[in-house]
Amino acid sequence: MSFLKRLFRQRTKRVTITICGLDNAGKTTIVRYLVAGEYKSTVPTMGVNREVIDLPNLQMDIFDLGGQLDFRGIWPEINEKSDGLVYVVDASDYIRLDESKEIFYNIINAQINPLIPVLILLNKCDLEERLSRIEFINAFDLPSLGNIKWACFVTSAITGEGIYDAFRWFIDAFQE
Amino acid sequence: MKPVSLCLVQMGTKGLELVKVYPNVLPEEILNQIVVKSMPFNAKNGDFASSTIGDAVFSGYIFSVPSENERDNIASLVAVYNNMNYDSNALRKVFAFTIAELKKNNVADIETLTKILPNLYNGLVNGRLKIKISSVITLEFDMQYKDEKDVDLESLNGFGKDLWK
Repeated sequence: MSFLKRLFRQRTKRVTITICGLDNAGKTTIVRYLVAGEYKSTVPTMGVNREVIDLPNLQMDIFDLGGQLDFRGIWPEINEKSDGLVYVVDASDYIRLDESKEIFYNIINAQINPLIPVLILLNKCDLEERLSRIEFINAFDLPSLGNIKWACFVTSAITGEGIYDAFRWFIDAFQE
Repeated sequence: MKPVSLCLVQMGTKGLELVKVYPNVLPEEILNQIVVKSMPFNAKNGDFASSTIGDAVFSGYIFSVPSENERDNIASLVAVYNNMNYDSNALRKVFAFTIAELKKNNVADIETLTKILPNLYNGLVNGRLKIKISSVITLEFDMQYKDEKDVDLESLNGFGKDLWK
């Protein structure tokens, strides 16, 4: 490639994204859906999985963080370098909602740069017994996030519902 | 090939947890470290990993544990030795064969593995594995035979090399 072509070619923006949430929320299944475009069964993440997704002018370096208690100690180090946070909540897990909320606010208040976009996914919407988006937003007290750029989407990593729209918002947030 | 101990480790709700150790001869602090180190970060179904803790050396075969109602889990079969003089490749073959056979017969669950752990240990000690899972399922693996086959293959390859010279 000539010097001028190299000089003027469109640069690809690289962003580091972290995906957090309680164990069994569906984080890896969502990443697999993004990569493969279809549902793939998963096993619990052993610490960290890393996937790179290339889009036109945007390369997403995704760190999918294991949700088990023992692995949460490594989250702050990775989250502080993150350009965008995806937080996944199991919409059918009413029992652990408070635990998930506590972890979410710990990440927001102590681990990430407050200027990065935060995408919240209310996952497993294919299940019958689940929280609605409104119930979840109130339960998580999301309006209190103030100046943080956030959005909440209802998703299913099995059917793919909502995933495209959610990541469309997220990618647009990086382009702005 | 005689291991000091065999451990079965699985992913629990908080993290990695020890399901069973046989024989239970290792100090607790060593066991705790083996559990933590039994699966490296980003470990996946079919991986084989080795590590050391003090004088203990161990190798583990990582595998998925199928589940009908919930998502599959991840677990590790770990053999602990007191020196490095063991054939890790043969060990990997034994563990991979055992898990593959259990999966083939839809019995690759933690309960079955817990039950057969002593037999698996004795099989590694004797160099010959024969585990009756049920009235119709018996696992058999002869490490001597496999080793001889490998040696034969190596000598044949050697013969080929000699011819080339």
